[in-house]
Order: sequence, then C-alpha cells, then structure tokens
Amino acid sequence: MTPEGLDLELIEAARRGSSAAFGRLVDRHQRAVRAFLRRACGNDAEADDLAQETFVTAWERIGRFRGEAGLRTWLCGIAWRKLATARRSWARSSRRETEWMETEALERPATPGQLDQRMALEAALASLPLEQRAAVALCLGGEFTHAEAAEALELPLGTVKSHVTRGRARLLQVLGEA
Amino acid sequence: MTDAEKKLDAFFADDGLPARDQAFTHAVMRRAAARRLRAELAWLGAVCLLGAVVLWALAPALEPILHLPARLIETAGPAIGVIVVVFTLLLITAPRDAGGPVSA
Repeated sequence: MTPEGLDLELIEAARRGSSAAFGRLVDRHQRAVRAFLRRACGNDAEADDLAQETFVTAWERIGRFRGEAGLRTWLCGIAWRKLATARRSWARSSRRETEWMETEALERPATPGQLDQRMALEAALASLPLEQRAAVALCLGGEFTHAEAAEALELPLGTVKSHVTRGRARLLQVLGEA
Repeated sequence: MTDAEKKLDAFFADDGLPARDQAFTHAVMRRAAARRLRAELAWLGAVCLLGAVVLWALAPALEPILHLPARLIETAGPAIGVIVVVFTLLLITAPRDAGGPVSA
C-alpha cells in the first residue's frame, strides 16, 4: 500500500472515531509538522506546543479533510494558521528578538567559520520575515513543492517562489556566498 | 553545487527530530482527550442550566401536580428510605459468583 493510501485508510478510521488510527497519523506526520514549526517559529518549545495544538485541531476537523491536497500539506496549513495567530500575541517579544538577531548579524564577523555555522544559519533564518521563513522551511526544509507550500500557506504561487529564492539567497550569503 | 549550497542542504536535512516520538504522540492524544472532556462538561453544564431555568419557569404550573408525590414522601418517606438502605446493603453484601469453573 502507498503511503497516501495508508493515510486515507487511517483518515477514514479516524473519522469513525478510532483514536488508534489518529495516533498512527500523528506518528507518521509529526516530524514534518514539528520541523516546519521549529524552523518557522525559531523556538522549539513553542513550536512543539503549536504542533500538538495542530494535531488536536486536525482531529476535530478530520471530517472536513477532502483530500484535494495531501495530508501533510493540510496539517502544515493548520500549523501555519496557528503560528500566524500565535505570532500576533508574541509580536512584541518577537520584535525585540528579531531586532537583537539583526544586530547580531550586523556585528557578526564576515566569515561565518568564526562562529558556529548552524547558529549563524538559525539566526539568519529567524531574521527573515515570517512568510518568507515559512516558505523556506517548507520548500527547502520540508521538501514541499512550491505549489504545495502555496496551498499550505494560502499564498499565490509566485509569492512563494519569490520568498524561497530570496530566503535561500540570504542564507547562502550568511554562508559566505555572495 | 557549491560548498555553501551543500552546507545549506545539510542544515535543512538535519532537523534533529526522531522520525517517531512516542512522547509527542501521547501528549497530543492526552490533550485531545482533555479538550473533548472539557467540551462534554461544558455541554452537560449548559443542558443542566437550561433544565434548571425551564424548571424554574414551570414551577408555578408544576407545584399543584407535585403536591401528591410530596405528600406521599412526607408520610411514607422514612419507610421508603429504610427499604432502600436495606436493599442496597443486601445487594452489596450478597455473595457474588466468581465466574470460574464449577467444581464437583
């Protein structure tokens, strides 16, 4: 059975009220959702909390899943809306954080080899605008196609492509490639 | 592919997460169950509140009807109470069938 076929079978069972089937769906897709949120959010604990909320909401709305997009895309769409809502309440602290990260980026030596490269990339990712960061997290980190990312983020395809290109260029710049 | 592109790919390939984290799944299921319980309690609370309001509104009309059972409880209440207590005690203390095989 294909992974998509197994997903559909588990979705049907979850719709009939099987918590075991839904648990298997959580098992199968938790990594994609958590990784997306961790990269887009920049805070692992907050991201995992949002990921749990995402799955709880998904179970409540499993009857509305029509299968037009893949389950992973649908889940990341829910995660994205949760993140955008949460972001509004975090706006103040997050702005301070972003300002600090931008300052750090300016003060950072030109050669990232002097710093931990991973931390430098994480800081650069966190300094991207939220939509751009989410598009980068899905397309570069989650191996989503541009169309899938556009569906999940509810953005035009062209906007997603532009976000990914710009975000990638910024990250490569941090790695020392002009 | 340049060196920077390889490093970027490696950065995105390593998310530091296990493929399946049972603790995460349990946390999701626990949170879902708690939310369902809260929703059911809220529903029950609303139904009880509605019932109380309806009874309060109907109280003047129900009062004459309830006089008869009230008088019955007033006179036979203690006797009914004793019977219920004795019956409950008998039910609790009665030997139960263990459900195992019957020995000869």
